[in-house]
Amino acid sequence: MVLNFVNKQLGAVEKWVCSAGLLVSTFLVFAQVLNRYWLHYEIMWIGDLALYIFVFSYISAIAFTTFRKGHISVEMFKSRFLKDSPIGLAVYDLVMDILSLAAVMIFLIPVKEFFLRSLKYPEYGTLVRWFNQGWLIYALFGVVILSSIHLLFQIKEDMAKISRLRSEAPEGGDQ
Amino acid sequence: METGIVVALILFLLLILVGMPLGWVFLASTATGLILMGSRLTFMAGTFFHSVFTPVVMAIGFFVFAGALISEGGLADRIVRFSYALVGKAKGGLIVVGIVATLFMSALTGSSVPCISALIPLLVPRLEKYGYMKKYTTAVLCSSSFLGYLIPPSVPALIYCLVAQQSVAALFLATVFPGLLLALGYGILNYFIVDRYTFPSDEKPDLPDNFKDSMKELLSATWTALPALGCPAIILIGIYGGIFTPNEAGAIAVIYCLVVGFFIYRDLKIGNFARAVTNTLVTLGMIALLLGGGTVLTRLLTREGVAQQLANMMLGLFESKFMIMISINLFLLLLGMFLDGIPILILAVPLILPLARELNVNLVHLGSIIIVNIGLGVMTPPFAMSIFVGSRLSGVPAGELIKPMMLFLLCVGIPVLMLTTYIPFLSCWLPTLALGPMVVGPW
Repeated sequence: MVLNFVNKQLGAVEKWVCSAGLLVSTFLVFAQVLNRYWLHYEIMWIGDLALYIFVFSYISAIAFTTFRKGHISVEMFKSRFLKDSPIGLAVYDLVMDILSLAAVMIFLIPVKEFFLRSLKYPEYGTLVRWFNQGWLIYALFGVVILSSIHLLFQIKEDMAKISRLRSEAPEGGDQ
Repeated sequence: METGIVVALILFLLLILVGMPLGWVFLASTATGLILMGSRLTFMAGTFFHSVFTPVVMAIGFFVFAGALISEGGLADRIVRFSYALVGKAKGGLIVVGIVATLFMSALTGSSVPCISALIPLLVPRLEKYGYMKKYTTAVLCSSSFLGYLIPPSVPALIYCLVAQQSVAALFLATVFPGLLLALGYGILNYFIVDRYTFPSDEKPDLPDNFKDSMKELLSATWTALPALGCPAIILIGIYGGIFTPNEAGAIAVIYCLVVGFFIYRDLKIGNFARAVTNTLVTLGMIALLLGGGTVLTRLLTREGVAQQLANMMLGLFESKFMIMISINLFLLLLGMFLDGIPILILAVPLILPLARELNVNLVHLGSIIIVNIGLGVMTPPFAMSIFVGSRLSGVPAGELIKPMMLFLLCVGIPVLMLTTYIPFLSCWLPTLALGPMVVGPW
């Protein structure tokens, strides 16, 4: 129940943050073109700021895509061998989510080291001097953690689905 | 080759085949390889981060966003009406309407799936009323969908440029002739085979029967479609006129689509807009993980000399450049049967680059060959994205689409690939003309 709530709220926050970043960076780049050709006054730092905001959204979108189960895979095995077995499909989803979580947890090790190093050595932008590029590395660290939370929730859902299907299935069959 | 690399590659293939998400597969196999080699994992995070922290990703994001807005904003309907007025009267012309509409939609969306997602629901039921079999119309649209990769702006071209460090403006132009050839080839093949896929129908399309009325309808359709057609025109004139960069072109395309969708056509509502944003974010998240994870794996393979070994092996195996280019095409087509275009670009380009350099293949030309290949991958089963989407949208079983699609693949797709591979003029002439030989290099 708590995990469900946390997962949903996190997904919603990710969506709003990424959407805002996407729109703001679009308008900033557009403003840069307007400045250049209309006001004849190019503000150099707008391009860099737009890039930082965009990359922040872009990295954060990884967690949102995990929340929406949008990362692509080759579903040949699933569609060929398991399409008529609901329990088989649920078990398959569970195994894939566990494997994905394992990959995320392994990736967390180098990302954590990278994150700790960026905490120690901030790297400020050339044109946007107040912007610490390390913040984007913090975002990557956060995204890996968020993705693991989403995957944990999906594993819990898969397990609930399997037990529901098993209780619904007639004795001796998996339909 | 180190044991760690061999295990990483085996694990990579195994995990892909069982269906684990590709982005995570890249990371899992790289980590396994590094652990077995006794190396630290640190380089994974840095490489991942730097591969997604680059200005080209902005252009990718903006073009994906513009494509999503076009799919939701009612632009497809006007494009279909325009194509209908343009070519509807020819033999099998209603099918050619689909091909021409895909050509224009490609220039708007920059990708293949948004094209067919917008066109299949519009055209398949309409053409069935006029006696064209659903499976044929769907197959033609699915086959044409890869024009989305060839007609600029093209998202795969941007990804190739990111991986191979080539000029975006040059790559956008390099695939134009192969794209036009493909559309022409489809039109010609359709002329010869369309009768096999029609049935008698009492309903006839409402087309003007004299020249004056035809011109009137064409002018009216062009006027209505003008705001939609303006988008690619602004992007291309802007980039090639040196007015703005590809990133800025992407942002302008988004703003343009918002203005056209909200205020001119008024088909874009808040709900559609929110859906377009959500779809864009999901696509971007998918691309970010693929790009980051894929770069990590390919960097490891390059660092351990796998790309160079592959190049040496190919050079030892075949003596002629002709045969090596055929084997590169076969390798890419084979990958295309199982993988989506973006992972192929991220994975295969760094492996092929050293070989291409040894053979003195122009990298803009190579980009064009690779993009045509991954475009063909969209229509080659068992993993053919366009068949999956086409079958779901039209309700025609995937198996029924394969036969007519194979006709288009074998009679047009493969010949266009061969022409693109062996006639560099097709890919390099236009970018050289527009940007000069310094940008494109010798071919």
